[in-house]
Amino acid sequence: MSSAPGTLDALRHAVTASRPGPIRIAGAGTKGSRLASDDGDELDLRQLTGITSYNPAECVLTALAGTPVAAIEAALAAHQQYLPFDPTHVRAGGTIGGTVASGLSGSGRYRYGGVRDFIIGARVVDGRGRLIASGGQVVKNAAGFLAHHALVGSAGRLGAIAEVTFKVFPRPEARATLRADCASLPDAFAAHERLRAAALDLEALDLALAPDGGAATLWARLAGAADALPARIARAQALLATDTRVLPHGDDARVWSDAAECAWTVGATSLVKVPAAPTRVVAVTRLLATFGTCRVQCGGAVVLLATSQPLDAVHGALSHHGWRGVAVCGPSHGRLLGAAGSDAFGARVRLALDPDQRFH
Amino acid sequence: MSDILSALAALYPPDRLLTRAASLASYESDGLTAFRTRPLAVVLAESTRDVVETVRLCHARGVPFVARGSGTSLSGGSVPIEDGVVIALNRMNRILRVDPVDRIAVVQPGVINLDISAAGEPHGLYYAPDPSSQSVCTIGGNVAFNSGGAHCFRHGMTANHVLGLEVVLPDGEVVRLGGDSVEDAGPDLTGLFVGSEGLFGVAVEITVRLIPRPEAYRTVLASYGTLQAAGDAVTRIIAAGLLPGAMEIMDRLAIEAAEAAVHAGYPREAAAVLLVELEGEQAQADAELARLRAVLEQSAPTHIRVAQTADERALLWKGRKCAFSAVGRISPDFIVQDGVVPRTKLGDALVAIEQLSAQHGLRVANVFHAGDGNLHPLILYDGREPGALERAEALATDILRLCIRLGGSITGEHGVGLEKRAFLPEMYTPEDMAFMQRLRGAVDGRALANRGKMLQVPA
Repeated sequence: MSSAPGTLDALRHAVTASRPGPIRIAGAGTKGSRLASDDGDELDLRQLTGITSYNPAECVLTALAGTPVAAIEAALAAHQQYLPFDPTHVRAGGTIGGTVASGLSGSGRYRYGGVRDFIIGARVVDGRGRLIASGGQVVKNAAGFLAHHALVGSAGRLGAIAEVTFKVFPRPEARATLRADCASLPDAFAAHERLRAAALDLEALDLALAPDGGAATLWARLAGAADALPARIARAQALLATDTRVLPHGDDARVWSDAAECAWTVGATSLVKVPAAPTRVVAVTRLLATFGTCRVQCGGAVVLLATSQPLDAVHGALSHHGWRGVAVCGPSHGRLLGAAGSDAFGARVRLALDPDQRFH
Repeated sequence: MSDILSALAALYPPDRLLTRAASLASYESDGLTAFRTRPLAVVLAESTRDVVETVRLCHARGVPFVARGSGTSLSGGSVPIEDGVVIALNRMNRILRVDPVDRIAVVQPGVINLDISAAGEPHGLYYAPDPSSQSVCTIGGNVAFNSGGAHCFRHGMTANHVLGLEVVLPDGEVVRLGGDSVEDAGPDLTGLFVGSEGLFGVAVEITVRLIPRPEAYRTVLASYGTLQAAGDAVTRIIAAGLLPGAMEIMDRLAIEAAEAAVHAGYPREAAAVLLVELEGEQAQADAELARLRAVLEQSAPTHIRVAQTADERALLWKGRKCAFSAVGRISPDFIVQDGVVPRTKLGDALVAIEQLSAQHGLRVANVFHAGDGNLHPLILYDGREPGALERAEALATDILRLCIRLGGSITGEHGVGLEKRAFLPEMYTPEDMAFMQRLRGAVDGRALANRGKMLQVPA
């Protein structure tokens, strides 16, 4: 059975009226789905769409979960604002609810933070059809539990995200991108570290590995006042080897839009996100590169892996090193991989939101 | 009751288990002295094991407990619970690790906020959230109350800077949330734990993000003939696409107090001053400064001053940072209120506060984080005057209701604690409140961890 509620009330009703058993939440499907398509009732949230409120002077936007990110970005762009965490799968039709549920941010998260840093409120329908609000419409708020934080990366397991509120920022006046092709992985990581360690306010800093993992392209983006940008680019460029190119304006936008679409993962079955840190990013990348193609994001804080190999193998390898990851796109969307600690706190949170394990 | 005391005595040496009235006295209240409760005992924890064992004992015997750092809470968040145990964490004050490459610090909960930045300093790093009490408040308390500061619009609050936690749940079970990366796998439970006001247990190890000190700061003080004009300037700055690290406004009374205390050089004849700070790469900061000046010049200021040196910048900030304590110089007593309104309603809020001030016959000094709509009205009164405290409290309450009515929040950074517990249901629906109780109940079925704060104890 499938239902496609178009209002919050209809969403509540859909949950209470659904037959006992699992509920599978579906959006645009750009990041895959969690359960087999015939398992349980499907709750299609694509009709639950629209920007509920947006006041540019407040830098706050609220939208229903099924709202396409593209529509939100267009509304923000009309007022020279943007979502600084750089949402993914925008052209593909990804929804804002799916963006929160996947917890996946784009390359641009490097500058100001990820989904978790910009969500300031949400409404969620719990496993018994109750509509619950947390946070609010103001950027600073310390009243009540920050339940909306737990929705980031929840992969539909805690409840049906119905509406989300974000802090947004003024869009930089101008942007520019540097590209450096590195012949070897050590060269690439060395260049990456030079840029990361410098006093540069980079918007994004990625390493895109070649499919064989032997070479990599470094991408760095700068943004800000147009008149200050040339000097800033020159400064970054001086830290890199000679064959560095500054991308012309149109190419700059295309490169990052392609990165946000995860265009580089084409052909792979799954996209896995592995939280990392600069001191272990080389080791994490080397391990993951044995399973597919990798992209290092956010100055080494994230390694993404596009793979067609069984996730059990990736899980085993991550566990062996005590590292963690999560499948963010593909048939196992939301599956946690690698080392797992006690889930006692998470289990209690699920008990409060979804006592009958409808979404689990 | 003596049962828990003897069990604690088996765990702690006498000098770390306080039970006598004289030694308990200094733990009876926190930064909000209106609330005062004598606990059964205070234990001075020195290790995670101490905390785990204490929480287990309390859980087994149904004794409520509250973790406490420096006791600077302004919402009564760390006030003891009657017949309960205070777990003092000040001795757990070690910075366990600073990793300048990964830009993180792993610290114990009793570490002072500012000491984290000091540890990052040699590496050009700092810890961003900067509550006004940062030279005394502890990171454990910051985590519990999701503390803010002057830089929240751009940099976020404590929740945005805590990457990982080791937590003792209210039944003594120990879990790790998050990790050492800015990204996580699975739901952001770290973000949920932050701001839970001690109701989800005790954080015993905290991994925070350190960020590089900006290459340049450009700090500007603009003075205005009206408070409204200062508020409008903030709206213009945002509309111009600028993203300052901080935007702070002080009104005439706050200026007067700050000048009397530190001579920051604020123009005494101004009705309001706006402090704006840009940060970033030098070239960018300079370019933004030019834009900021242009915006400010159109905002009808009476005066604009750009800090030319680091010392001048420090002095401008000193006036702002000391404003709360400085008010003590112009009034025998005062209440610091903490509320939030949507930024575009700042003007409305200030006019309404002015009216309320007149109605109640009490002076109000306004200091606020204008970038994020966070008001800090300081309500001045004389406690020796009969009924003055009650009037001040009534005015503080009216301001909170005003914040709710304007679509804001009853607290931006001080938390709900005891002080605002009665107001939380005015901000959220009964269904939302019932959910908070369910969540609390699922995490702490016996409602022992910081019982009575934020939420009423269920009957």
